[in-house]
Amino acid sequence: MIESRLLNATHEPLFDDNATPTQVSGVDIDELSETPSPDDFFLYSRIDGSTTVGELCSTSGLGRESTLEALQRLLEVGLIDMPGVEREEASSAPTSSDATSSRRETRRPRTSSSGANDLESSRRGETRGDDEASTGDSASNESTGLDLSHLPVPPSAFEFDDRLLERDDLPIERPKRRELLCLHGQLDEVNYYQFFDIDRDASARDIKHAYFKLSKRYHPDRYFQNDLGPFAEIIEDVFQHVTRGHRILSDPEQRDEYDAQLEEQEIVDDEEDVPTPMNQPSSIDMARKQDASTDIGDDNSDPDKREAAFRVLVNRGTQARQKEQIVQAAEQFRKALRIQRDVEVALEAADMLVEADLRLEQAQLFARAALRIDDKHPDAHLLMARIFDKLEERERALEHYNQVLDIREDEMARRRRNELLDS
Amino acid sequence: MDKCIGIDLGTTNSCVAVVENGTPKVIPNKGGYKTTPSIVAITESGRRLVGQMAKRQAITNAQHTIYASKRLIGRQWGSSAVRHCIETCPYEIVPGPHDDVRVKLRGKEYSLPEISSIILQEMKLVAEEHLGDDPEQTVVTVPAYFNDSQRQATKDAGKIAGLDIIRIINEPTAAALAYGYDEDVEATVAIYDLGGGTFDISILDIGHGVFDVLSTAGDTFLGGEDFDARIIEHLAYEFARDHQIDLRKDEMALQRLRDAAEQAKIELSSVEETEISLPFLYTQDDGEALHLQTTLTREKLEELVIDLIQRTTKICDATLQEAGLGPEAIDDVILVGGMTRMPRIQEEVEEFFGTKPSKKVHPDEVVGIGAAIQGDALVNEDEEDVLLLDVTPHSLGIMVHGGGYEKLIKKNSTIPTSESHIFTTVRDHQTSVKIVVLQGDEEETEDNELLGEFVLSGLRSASAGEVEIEVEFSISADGIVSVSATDLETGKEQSITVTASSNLTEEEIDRMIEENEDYLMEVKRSEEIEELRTQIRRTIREINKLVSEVDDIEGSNSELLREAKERAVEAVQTAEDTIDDASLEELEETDEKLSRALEAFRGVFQRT
Repeated sequence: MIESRLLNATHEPLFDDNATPTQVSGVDIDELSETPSPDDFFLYSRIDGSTTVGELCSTSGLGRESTLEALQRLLEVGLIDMPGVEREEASSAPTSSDATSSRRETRRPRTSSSGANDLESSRRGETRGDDEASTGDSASNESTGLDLSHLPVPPSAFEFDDRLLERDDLPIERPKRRELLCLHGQLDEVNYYQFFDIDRDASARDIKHAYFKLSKRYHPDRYFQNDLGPFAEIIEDVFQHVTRGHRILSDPEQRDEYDAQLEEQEIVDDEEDVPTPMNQPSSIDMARKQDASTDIGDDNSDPDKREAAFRVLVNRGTQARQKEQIVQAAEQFRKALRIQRDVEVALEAADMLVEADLRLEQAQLFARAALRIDDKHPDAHLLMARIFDKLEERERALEHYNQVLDIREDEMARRRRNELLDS
Repeated sequence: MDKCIGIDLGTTNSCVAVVENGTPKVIPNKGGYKTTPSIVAITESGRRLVGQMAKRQAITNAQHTIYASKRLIGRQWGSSAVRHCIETCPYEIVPGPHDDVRVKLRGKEYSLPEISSIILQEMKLVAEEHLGDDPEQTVVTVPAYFNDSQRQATKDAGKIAGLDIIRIINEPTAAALAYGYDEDVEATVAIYDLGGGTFDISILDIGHGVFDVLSTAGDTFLGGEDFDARIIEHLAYEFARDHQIDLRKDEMALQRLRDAAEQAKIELSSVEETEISLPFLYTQDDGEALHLQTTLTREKLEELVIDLIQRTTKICDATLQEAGLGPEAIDDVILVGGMTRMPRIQEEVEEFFGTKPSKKVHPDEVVGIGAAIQGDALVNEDEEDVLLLDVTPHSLGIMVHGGGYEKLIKKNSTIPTSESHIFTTVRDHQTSVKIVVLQGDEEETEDNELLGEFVLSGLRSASAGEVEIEVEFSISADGIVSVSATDLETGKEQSITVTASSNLTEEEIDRMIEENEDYLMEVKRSEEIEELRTQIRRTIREINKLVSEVDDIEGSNSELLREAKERAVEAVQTAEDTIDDASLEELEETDEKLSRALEAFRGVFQRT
């Protein structure tokens, strides 16, 4: 999340000027992942829970830019809290080799914790809400945009259509456009809890608050009688998603059903790793969207959005692989495949893991996913065979080597098969 | 800051409000009243009267005075509502050319939107005088239960009146806006709105400036007028019992009864009993006059109307159920409409919801104020604004094979919204489908309102069930319904925007706009004529005064003065002869001549 914020930094101010940072108590300064500079600590000493970011900037003596950067660092190492910005809990902990997954885990406790933690989190949620109300939440967010870093594809990773961002004949400010495009681009991928940025066990009240907040931001009436160009449809889609989500989450019965679906989906995800997308639109929806796209050629239509998100994730995976961040790369590929089934990507991911001799179970899932799309794919069978070989499951490895040889002549497969048969 | 006014176009009274410097307020009319009776009359000379003026002459001009026109607007000829009005109204109701309803006044037929436009125009005028400017944009309220054609007809009325109605909102929602405006209210509220002609109940969630309608329902035929009718019936019955005469057959008597009934009803909200005294109510064939003299108690009134009150609580119950709430979930109840002043109604409401109704808002002004708040929020984009999340009050769907009604958009869905559904062909080699769009929540398909229909043709010839057609319904934030049907195989699409038939064609509306403008020109002209006449009369008086002064100073009259006097007297004579029939141009001429004569006369007089 911090990464995304830093990336954002080049585009827009990081914090709301009216936000009031607070010191986090009980942080062991010796255990910080990074040592803040004396300037940072000076600023830290000015943070008293009532001075706003804007006031800090003008009174710190460091200059606005340096103050904001210092605040960013303080937030990063976990010394301060900022309403509206979530603090990264993992950063003060020793970094594990598997940084990506541990980071993702840090969100989990929020969603499925119980007992005391629960109270803690809901209380935090409330004070956050109050802060926002008192500092004129929506007005201030207008300039910085809503924090969407919790989305599967956060704004920092989203490929924006520059034409839409640059058009100067539209009454929507740029941060808001980024927000809308980013949300709209992944309506099908996010579940309603992510969309509303609420916990899985959010109370009816939390849901209502989130619903009201988003409605106020995305109701088409905000831009009444203004020509929004391509954004007219986008904002309406986003708003309808808000109301749909609310309709489901606010009805206990429908919510239970939805939760069950989500859980099922997650089990499937974990087991097979190549799930169908969350909230997968019914075939009806897909058909409609495909129709619409062939008709109008609208590049914001769903298949294209999906394609864009898919490409973003694959690119990130490939980049991570180049940097030899295999686990991260695998994670990106997994996300990509969640959006769109693709033999090549699945095979690349499996191959990568096999080559690195890492997470063979996951490699197996990728290869299996490829087979599910094309059960006669020789490379997929070859990978399966190699994985089982590594796992010393000879019978099954043999089976797949035979499959490969049924489809094509493959020297390596034949050699290894013969070796196995011999033993 | 753009100004957008809000108009509560009520069955019995209308009200206009505006937000100024962040404060919503009702604009009083010329008489200083905050509400204007929704009554329109045409006088013998063809002049239109609106509001208090129309109400005052209602007794003597009952046949040409339209009240409660809102009950007829957007209705189909032959509907029970219209039949009911024909029975009870003294004015003439006739069928229009599109199965719609017209009223006949002084030999001319008026559509209901035209009648409403006259009221809207009056409200516009009230606003104009206050703002010193023409208010171009308007939000108008309608009962939540109004269907599309009633809403459309209301929009047409605005058009005819030269108003740009940017949004139609539901009355109870408007009331909630007024209730929760400017304060950080967080509550679930019920709006109980019993007005002159309609009953509405809405449940809303309010928080952080967002007003979310959970459910809404009502009865367009339940209001103060029905309460009055019960009293009239009671009085007429007693009278018939004593004299064997049905007063309801005598228009003058009926009108007096109506006024007395309303008066008594209002009085009984504050006193336990009231005298009804209508002397010389009826003249018998033998010339003997009959009087009506009776006492009505609050208890009797409650007995007469208790079933009407119970009908409202029944609707409340159904609405709560639709919102998935029990009465205990309601934090506050807001009473809207003059009828809610009736103590028994307040008691029943309190008993039903288990909470004392809020006294925070004024039942007569709250709707207009809410409309102004919404208008202000729409035209002035401000992050701190209120946001109204309105719902569609009726389900929408299409007619399916076998005459069934398949609802796609359920009532109380937050708008904008869209839903789609796949249908298949039902016959072999069927190459076209007819999409029949319906609105309503009635069990029987035919009881729902037909919004429109269109045909999707050119389907592939195949066995039944093979060709799939997707039908998508959407309702925009403005409440405009559009329906599209797509052949999923070919991508071929047909769609319609359902401009619910307001029962008026484009041409008719244009003609009405023109007629209205002509009328206004005519009025303006006659006002100018009246002004000129006054001016001329003033000059005549001055000349006459001068003449008598000159005559008083006897002997000293010079030849010059005498001549000037004679010329002036002559001019006065001509003016007096022509003043009543002269056209505007002739009057202008007369005025000029007269003024010149006066000037000359005065000039000579002063010199001597």
